[in-house]
Amino acid sequence: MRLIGSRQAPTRSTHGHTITRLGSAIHLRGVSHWYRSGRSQVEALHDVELEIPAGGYVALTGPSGAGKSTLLSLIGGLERPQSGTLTVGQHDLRALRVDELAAYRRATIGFIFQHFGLLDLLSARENIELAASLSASSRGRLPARDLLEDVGLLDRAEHRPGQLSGGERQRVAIARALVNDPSLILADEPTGNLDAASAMRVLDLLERVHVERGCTLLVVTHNEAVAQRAEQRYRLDGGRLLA
Amino acid sequence: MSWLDSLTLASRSLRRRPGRALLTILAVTLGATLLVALASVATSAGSRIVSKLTNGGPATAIKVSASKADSDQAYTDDLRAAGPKAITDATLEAVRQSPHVATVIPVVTSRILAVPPPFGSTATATSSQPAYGDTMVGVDLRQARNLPITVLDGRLPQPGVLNEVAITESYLDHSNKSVQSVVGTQVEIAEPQAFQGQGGLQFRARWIRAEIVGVVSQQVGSGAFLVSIQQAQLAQTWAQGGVDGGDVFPLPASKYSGMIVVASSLDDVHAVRQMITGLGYANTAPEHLVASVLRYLRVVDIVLAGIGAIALGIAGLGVANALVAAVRERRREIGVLKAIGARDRDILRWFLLEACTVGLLGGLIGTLAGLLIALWVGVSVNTYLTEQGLQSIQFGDVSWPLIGTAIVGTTLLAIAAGVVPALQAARLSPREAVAAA
Repeated sequence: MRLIGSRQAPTRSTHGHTITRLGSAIHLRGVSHWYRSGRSQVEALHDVELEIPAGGYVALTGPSGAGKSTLLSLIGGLERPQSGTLTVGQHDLRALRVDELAAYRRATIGFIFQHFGLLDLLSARENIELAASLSASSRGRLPARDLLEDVGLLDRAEHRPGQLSGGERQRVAIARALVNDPSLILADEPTGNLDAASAMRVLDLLERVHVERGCTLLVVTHNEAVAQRAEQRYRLDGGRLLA
Repeated sequence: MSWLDSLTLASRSLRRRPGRALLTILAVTLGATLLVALASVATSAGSRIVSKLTNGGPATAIKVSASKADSDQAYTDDLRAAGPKAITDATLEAVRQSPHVATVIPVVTSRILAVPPPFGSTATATSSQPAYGDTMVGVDLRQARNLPITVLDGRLPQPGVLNEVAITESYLDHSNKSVQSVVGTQVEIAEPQAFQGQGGLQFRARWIRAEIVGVVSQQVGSGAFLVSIQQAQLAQTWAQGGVDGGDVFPLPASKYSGMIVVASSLDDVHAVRQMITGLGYANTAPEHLVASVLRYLRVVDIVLAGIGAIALGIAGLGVANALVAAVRERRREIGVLKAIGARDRDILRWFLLEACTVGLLGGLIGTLAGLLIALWVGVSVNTYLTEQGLQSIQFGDVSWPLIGTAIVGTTLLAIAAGVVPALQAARLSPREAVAAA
């Protein structure tokens, strides 16, 4: 079994910034981020310095509230860092506007959530096709059925998420994350809701995608066994990055 | 995200909460039903009232008599005649060329003797129903819709046909027939001509036998027989071939006994009447009465529109409330969609299409229900009127502008109601929405 497709197609946002899927090295320089909670501010990240090479496989661990998900959402372009520099490939994420961040997420990022993040309204195939349709360009887009076959769920293509097991849902989510041929996969506790066997199967699949497609893989996890499988491991505690 | 994807999401979102979707659509349906039913009934009733005031003719019709107008004519709806004044072809042309005049329809009348069946060999000797004097009113029946004529039974005579006649209810007193039984019977009509015989003034007649094709109520001219203008003109020409018959059968003083002048609009009726009065002719039109009634009807329309608007407003709040709840429920889905690259406008479109679907479905069902209710009201009212021996009202006319306005209006209202929750959804921070899971 071999994942099909390549990562070569550039897309252009409406405001002139060219978003490409080449080069997904991640650089964080002095990144700090905080949230407002009532009248006080809570610092989620403090002066984080991080280098992840293109095509790297990195695990990020730490206790709850350490800032793991915040770091993932900053790298994924869900929000912009409040201080410091964050570049992914050639993109300075602090400089991108809202719709440019959306274009960046479509072109560059494949998100995988602990809660799977599938839309219950749609079948497995439709979930994947919806993600594909968000991209203005069809270049590099992979057929939903090929992806489902690749994750071993072609026979479940027309099933709704509610009709699938947790492991199957996560494999559909992985297929969806791959549909626009991302160069960076961000997985937030991808095995957190799975039994051990399903978790191993999902991790195997993620690692195969990483190897065959050469994309950068950043996994946030509580699970030390999962973290041990990564090439590099970092630990966050109290918003500070520990090597 | 394509429009089709957005529509798929919108329709499936509605189906996911069928109870809530149904109640929301029902709220819009009720609003649309109320609005359409009220508008239909009000329009039918208003048309009927105006029609009654104008005897079936247009509200802009002015009846002009071959009489001089007195000095008060300009200030009253009534005819203020002060002696004869001939209406000629030149008069018709002058009025026709005047501003704000849509149509001018001449009226020709002629005195006659009428003989209801059974017919004898002479007019009076052997018939069980004696001949009686009456008047034949001739108009261009091609313009019947512009004339104050209401067909009570049967139909009008064909334009230009000389052996058909419509009668008013006064003929029934002479024929001992009912409205239903008189149609299809025949009547003999004697068009008299006076001449000086050896014994002084004598009369002879041009006889015709005509079929009664309809029973009408008409205010075109004073007479029980409505015929095509050609028939009346033949009778007039025949009478003018003799001498003046005195009080019994006088020679007509004017080629036309009157004319019906139709103004371009209700607002123009006053100006046209002033013009006709300026030419010296007595005239009548329910100008002030119609204006007063229309003002009252306008007030009724405003009240009914207000009730409908309140109903639609409540429906709009229902749509907004349902969408606010939906946004709250779907925070995670919105966040996920944004995380995988959906733009704000993709989310906005999803929710607005959902509101649009609710509005469209509610509008379609509500409009249909409203029309059915209006029809039911019409049947009930007509049953009551018939039981009371009154003339029924024409209900159930399908007003396509009303239908279009109701459907488009409720759809737009639902979309408008959905704008705020849809914007809330579109502006959700993806990070917060994902974290809300």
